[in-house]
Amino acid sequence: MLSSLFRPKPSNRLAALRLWVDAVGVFLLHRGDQFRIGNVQGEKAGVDLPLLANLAGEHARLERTGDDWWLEPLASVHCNGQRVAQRTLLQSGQNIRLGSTVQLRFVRPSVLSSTCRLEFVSEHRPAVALDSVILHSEVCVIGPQPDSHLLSPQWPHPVFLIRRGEQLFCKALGGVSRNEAPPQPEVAFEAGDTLCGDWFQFRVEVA
Amino acid sequence: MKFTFQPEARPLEGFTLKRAIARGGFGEVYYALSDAGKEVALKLLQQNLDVELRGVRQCLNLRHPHLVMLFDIKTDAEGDSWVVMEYISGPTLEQTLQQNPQGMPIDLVLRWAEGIVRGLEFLHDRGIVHRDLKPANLFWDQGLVKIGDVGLSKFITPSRRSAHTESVGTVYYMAPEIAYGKYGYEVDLYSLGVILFEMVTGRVPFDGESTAEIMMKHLSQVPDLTALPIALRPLIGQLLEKDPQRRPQSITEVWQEFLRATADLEGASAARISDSNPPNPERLHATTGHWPGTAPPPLPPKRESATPFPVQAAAPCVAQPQRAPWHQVAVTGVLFVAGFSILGPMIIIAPLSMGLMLLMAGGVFTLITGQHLGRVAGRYWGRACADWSQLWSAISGTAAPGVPPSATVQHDPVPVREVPPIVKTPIARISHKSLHYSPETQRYLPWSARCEQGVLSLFWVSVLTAVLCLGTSLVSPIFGTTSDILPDAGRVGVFTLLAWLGAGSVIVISKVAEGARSEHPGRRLWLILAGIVLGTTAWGLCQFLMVNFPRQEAAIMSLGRQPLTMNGSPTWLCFALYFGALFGSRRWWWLADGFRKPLFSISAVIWTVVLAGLWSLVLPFPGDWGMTLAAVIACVVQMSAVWIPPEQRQPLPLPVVRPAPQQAGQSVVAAS
Repeated sequence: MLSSLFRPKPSNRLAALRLWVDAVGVFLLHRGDQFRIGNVQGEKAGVDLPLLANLAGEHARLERTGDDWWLEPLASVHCNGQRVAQRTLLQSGQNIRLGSTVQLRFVRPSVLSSTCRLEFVSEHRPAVALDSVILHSEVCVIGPQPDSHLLSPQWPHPVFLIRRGEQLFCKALGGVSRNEAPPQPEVAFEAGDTLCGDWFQFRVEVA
Repeated sequence: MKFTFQPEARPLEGFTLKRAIARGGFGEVYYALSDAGKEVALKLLQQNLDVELRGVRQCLNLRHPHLVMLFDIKTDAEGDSWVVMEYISGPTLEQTLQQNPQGMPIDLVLRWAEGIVRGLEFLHDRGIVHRDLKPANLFWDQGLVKIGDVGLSKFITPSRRSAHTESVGTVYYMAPEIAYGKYGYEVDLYSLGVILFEMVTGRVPFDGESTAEIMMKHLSQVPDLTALPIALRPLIGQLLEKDPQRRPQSITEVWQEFLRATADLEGASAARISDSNPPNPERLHATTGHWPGTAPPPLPPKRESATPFPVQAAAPCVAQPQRAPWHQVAVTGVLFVAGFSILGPMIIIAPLSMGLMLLMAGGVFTLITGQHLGRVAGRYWGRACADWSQLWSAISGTAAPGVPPSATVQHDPVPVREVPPIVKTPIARISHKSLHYSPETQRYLPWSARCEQGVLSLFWVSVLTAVLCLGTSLVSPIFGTTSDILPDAGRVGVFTLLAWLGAGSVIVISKVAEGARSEHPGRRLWLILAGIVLGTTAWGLCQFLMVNFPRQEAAIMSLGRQPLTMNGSPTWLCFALYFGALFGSRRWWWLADGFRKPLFSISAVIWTVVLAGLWSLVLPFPGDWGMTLAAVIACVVQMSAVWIPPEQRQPLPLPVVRPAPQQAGQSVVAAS
């Protein structure tokens, strides 16, 4: 309890983005240090993942400390079948059950990156389709390799989403074109942009 | 992978495209939101418009829990048609299979299979064939399996079962009869068989490097079912029958049989608990090992799934080719012994004896392996030819026969096992005038079939030549005598060898060019060349064995006796000219074609004899020899060449390469 008083306050100033990736899926790119999960009623209170599910308005909270993510239960939460009553360090592959039916999986695809992924195990989703959540640290890799943060089996090469401070950059082999401008080896992007390369295309929106 | 429309495009009033989902055989599919926020899948129909629209309209109001729901068909400002349908976020069976490369656990297979069967049952009950059943079209949606792309379905009516002109679907799951343009409900049963096989073993029964190779295997190869649990082999073997009539009669029957087979497998029934959660492949796979009943774990994917010598003892229920009846083997043995005892002493008959030995070897091979040697040889040779044909098409940039244009440029950079569906495979309309098919009917005959038929015919050429020549030598005066009873062995030997070579040449040339246009110049040229070679061989043998032909005095037209005869005997030039003329002046392929009118035509033999007689009037070649030889060759060719009864003739149309239509201002990218 005492340690929590000295813990730095998580920052959540950066807006989450939604990536609509052609032939791959739709993903939430969360850049803050805190990720709050609740029901759709909690959306007004700023919940990051409002699910159409029988949950509390804010049911659980994930917090980043350094390279680690911690799970803080605010209602009934189970982790790998064990009830969680206090703040718990999340390990890759752990199954998180919220309430009685909602199930998520926390995955850290690569040991070289602290970017993590939150997958949906049960059928519960937000009001608009979402395939998974990326808890973005410094780099997010979308590619065909199994340790990519987002798997795109049909792409020949990966695409990198790099975070430098509050700015996001996209990098890919052969260059990236932003809003149909000539391709550059690396481009900065923000919500509202459409990025494409020789083999990929995606649009970025405010979540 | 690039798509036609950018994100946020609004080609249809009221819908905003958010992202592309995939590109299928018939067009692109997008995820879109209506203005009110309803999520839908929008399918843009770029090709095969008539086919697709007709199918979708028929199915627009079908409602079933196991079918992806279709909402509407709309047309955009450009005139393109869009199908508005239910969006399903769950995984496809294809994705689930990728997560289970060694095969799916029993409970998962049962849950998928039940959904597929229920959906198909409904479709078939409504008289609709899906025709494009494949894992990419099967979705898991909140505990329910849904069949997608029902728009490709087609009503079955007896008169329209074979009247379709386009081939659709993905080759891995395509029933063999689709190559003939047949789309009965049995094609869905075949696809279901392939899907069940893949769910259980993790691999498809027929895999290959190219579309043509896979199609060929569907048409000719017997599936190797040894990777399946024994209890499932009869059902899946029956579903994978080449002949649609030998597949199960209904989907309901399939499901009952499947349940019966899987009931024996431990843990299967316990796993059939209705669960609203999606299948978690990792969890399920961890709890179950491999399938009970499979002695070894499922085989890893490999190029050649069929073994040339299937082990029958280990797989008693495997669908296998018919074993040769004992009496055939016995007859073969008797022929072998008779051939050797009668003809063996004649050294010149060695080639014939070799033919008989080959035949015997074929009989033994058939007895041991249950497969016909000719069929096996043909299959391997055909595969080699198909590979070469692919290579040639890649080098020359032309489509190989039977290979759809889209399949010639596959540069998929990622190791995903996905062959794009065949787009616009040109299957010509097949008329119902099957009784009027003749050797002039142009058609596509796979190399494996040519080789299989050719090798089979050549075996019979050996047998029949021996029998006929032996018979002829006993009754014909042309062979002279060395003693009071027996004919001249040298003459009989030369005659037999010439008959054997002549009939063999006709068979080979006819089979290679079968299905080509009637007056194929190459075919006649090859026949002339074969005649010249035959004449040269005959002359050489006569010289070597010192066999003298009787003088030919009856040549009416003296075409310069000097180069054609020497000391009263025909020269090499005479031999070559005579046989070249005999082979070049007759449509010999009409005697060897599978589509010849009767199996054996006496008039054809008579005409051949007359022709040989006419040529012996022109050239100083002994007419009695020429006519007898021509008669024997004509008889042997007709009796040994494969003949297809008129009612069973189903010619494959010749492939036509058509350029894919491109829409203006639209980036067309080869499907990867």
